[in-house]
Amino acid sequence: MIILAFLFLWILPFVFPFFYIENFSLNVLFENSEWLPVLMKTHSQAMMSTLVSLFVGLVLFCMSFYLTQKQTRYFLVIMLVPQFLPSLFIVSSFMSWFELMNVSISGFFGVVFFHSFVNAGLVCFLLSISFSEKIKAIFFGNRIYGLKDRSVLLKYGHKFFNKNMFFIFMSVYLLCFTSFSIPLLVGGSGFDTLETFIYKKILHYGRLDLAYFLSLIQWVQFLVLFSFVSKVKSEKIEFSFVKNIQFYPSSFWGRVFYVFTLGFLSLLVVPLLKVFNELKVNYQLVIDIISLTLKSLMPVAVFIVFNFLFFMGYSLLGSDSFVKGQKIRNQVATVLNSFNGLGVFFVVLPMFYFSLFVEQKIFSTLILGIVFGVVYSPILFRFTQSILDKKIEKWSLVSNIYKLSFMNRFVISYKELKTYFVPVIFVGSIWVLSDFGIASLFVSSNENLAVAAMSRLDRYQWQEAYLMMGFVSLLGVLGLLKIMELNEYSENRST
Amino acid sequence: MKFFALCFFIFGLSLGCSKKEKPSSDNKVLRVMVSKSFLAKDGISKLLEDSYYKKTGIKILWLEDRGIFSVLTRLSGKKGIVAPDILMGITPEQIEILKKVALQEVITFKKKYEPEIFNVSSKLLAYNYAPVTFLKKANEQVRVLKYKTLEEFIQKEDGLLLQNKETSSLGSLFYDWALNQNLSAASLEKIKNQNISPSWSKSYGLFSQGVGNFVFTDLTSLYYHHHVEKNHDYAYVSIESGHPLHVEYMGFLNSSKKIDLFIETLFSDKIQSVWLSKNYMLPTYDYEKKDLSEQSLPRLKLLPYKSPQNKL
Repeated sequence: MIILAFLFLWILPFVFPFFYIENFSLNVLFENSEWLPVLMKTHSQAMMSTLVSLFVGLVLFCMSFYLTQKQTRYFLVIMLVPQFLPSLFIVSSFMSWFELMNVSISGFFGVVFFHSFVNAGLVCFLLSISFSEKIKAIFFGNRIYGLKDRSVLLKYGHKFFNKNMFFIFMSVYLLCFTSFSIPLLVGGSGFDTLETFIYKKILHYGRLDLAYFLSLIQWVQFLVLFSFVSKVKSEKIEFSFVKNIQFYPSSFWGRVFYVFTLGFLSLLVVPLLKVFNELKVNYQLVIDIISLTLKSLMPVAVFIVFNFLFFMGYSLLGSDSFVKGQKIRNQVATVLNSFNGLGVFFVVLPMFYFSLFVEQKIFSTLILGIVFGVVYSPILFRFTQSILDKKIEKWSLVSNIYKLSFMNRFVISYKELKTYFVPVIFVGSIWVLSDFGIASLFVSSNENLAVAAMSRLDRYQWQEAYLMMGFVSLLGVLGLLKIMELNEYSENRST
Repeated sequence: MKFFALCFFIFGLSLGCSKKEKPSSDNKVLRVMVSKSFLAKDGISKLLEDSYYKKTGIKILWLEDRGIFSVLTRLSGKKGIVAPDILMGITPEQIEILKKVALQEVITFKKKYEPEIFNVSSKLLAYNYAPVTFLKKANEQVRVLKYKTLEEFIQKEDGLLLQNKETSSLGSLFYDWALNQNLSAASLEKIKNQNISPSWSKSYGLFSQGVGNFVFTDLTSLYYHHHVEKNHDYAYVSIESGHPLHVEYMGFLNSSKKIDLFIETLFSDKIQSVWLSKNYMLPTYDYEKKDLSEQSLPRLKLLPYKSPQNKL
């Protein structure tokens, strides 16, 4: 039932314009050609951000050769931290450094800088999980045949790494292409990506028709780019968690690079000292943060309920028959994945429109929670589908043999998926808590923590924005540690 | 399971609580659409809401202006849409957009509360205003920076923080001012190269952070710095040829007793006396009587207030 409701919500964007947008016509794209340069800029920033991220990520990856096994594990966790932090927090902490150095980075270069900062660590992580074992084998061969590591890597490396590198390149490119919050925060008035352009067209100009077609264009491009990634991924790229890295054990360089890693993190944490110094004891701000966090819990709760029902619904699909279940799940997964990366505003527009029909704030918040569910659930599903499917297959076979009742199947399904739910829903909740773009269409800055932080940053009160999002960031880091812990636990269990 | 049960509980509790908020009937609630800044926590909205409730027993439901799309959709008159009874924060530049909206005539109230100078339409009622100028951070000795014309100011000064004419009413006001002053091509070219933000709050935020030299704003921003921040280190620009006025109007989508009572509450002495200190704009009601020096605001030479070309 919930899956049907979910699919209905996705069909809504396709039928919505024919009923509600006045003078809905494709001509709008030809009459307003200003979106073409914006599209070009979006691709050029995505390309530049990806290339810089790959370069920095590669340097970081090479640095990890000098670390011990334990250091490598912490190193990779720290490198992944920016991925789990709200972009509002990252931008506000860098504003402190820019203020100190009396510089201002915005526009095209600002977007590339922040994208690279956030994604370089991810590249390093992806390189580690895909190349470490291969490089280790090459180095081992070099030792036997007395060859030089560097020359062998430069001469033959591409033969081993082409597919993986393409996969990493495309994954980062897609992230930068669809990025919304960073271009909105640092793009300024002179630089727009397609997403921020659509957002401004809705908010400032009320051009729903143009926004709709542009979202459609973005979605089609996403699907094309995503098909490349899926194709490479389906050719079975090997990923393995790093076990015995440390190619060049060197206590000196190991320590130097380890300190560097901590320095990387301190870029985000040091502004805290400045914030405390400047704001002194601002009890009002503390009260505001607490009350706004409590108010923001409502859409988070709706999002969690939505996800719980969605994932449980998916796991119970056709659960009375093992073969039938697999078949139905495959079909539903194909539909869900084909809608993946749906231009965000393509989904948000009809819901935003319908929110204007409700009077009470509580229903706007309810709709917001559902919108978050519709937008973020397929992304969470995409990232974790293979783990989810494996878990479902395991218990559904047993429950079919014993012909369990629906209630029993539900309880077993829940118990089996519990370890999966916690990190997935936690990560999703952090996204929801730090999303200011979608939230600002539905609720005001008095009702939502991220919107309040955005409005502070808009007025360049970065200290307050920093503290507000710092709280969410802390939750994000705790979530990351929890995921690592669960990962270790499941690894040990499978061993 | 406990965690998910808790989420269900929060969800259910919120829905349960929402029933208490539900207005009993359409006559028991007045919907007023306003900008985000009007709803600021220490702003005028709470006081207005309480006074109105005491007087009438009717609650005010504030509908926040979330961009032109939400405003136009709410005003479209489509069945089921929660439309406002009153629309506040209209500037004369927005009259073109409002042409399709069926606003009511408010001639009786205009005679009673609106000084003749602000009369732009029989369907709009002015409620607050401010002369506009440029502010600069300076020491306490420098209070005013004098220029003969806008042209001279633009030619001499650099680092102006302006607003986009398409997304900000102040931006649009500056654009009209510049056009009416017949600025030279060089000045217009110079304006293009200044820092143009999408909104007043963004440009003022930049100014507060020390970016740029002059910010285009309401003169009443000085009041905020003097009285709230207790900071007198700001100089204002005085242009001899005159400054334009930033005026805000309200329009009414229907006529009823509850709207009449709202207007009376808004123009009551209790609200008008604190309007400047709560909303940082001057009330239009006593425009002719008010001596700005009482509010420690300078008196600027004003340009004749023109009605917009497009009439409602």
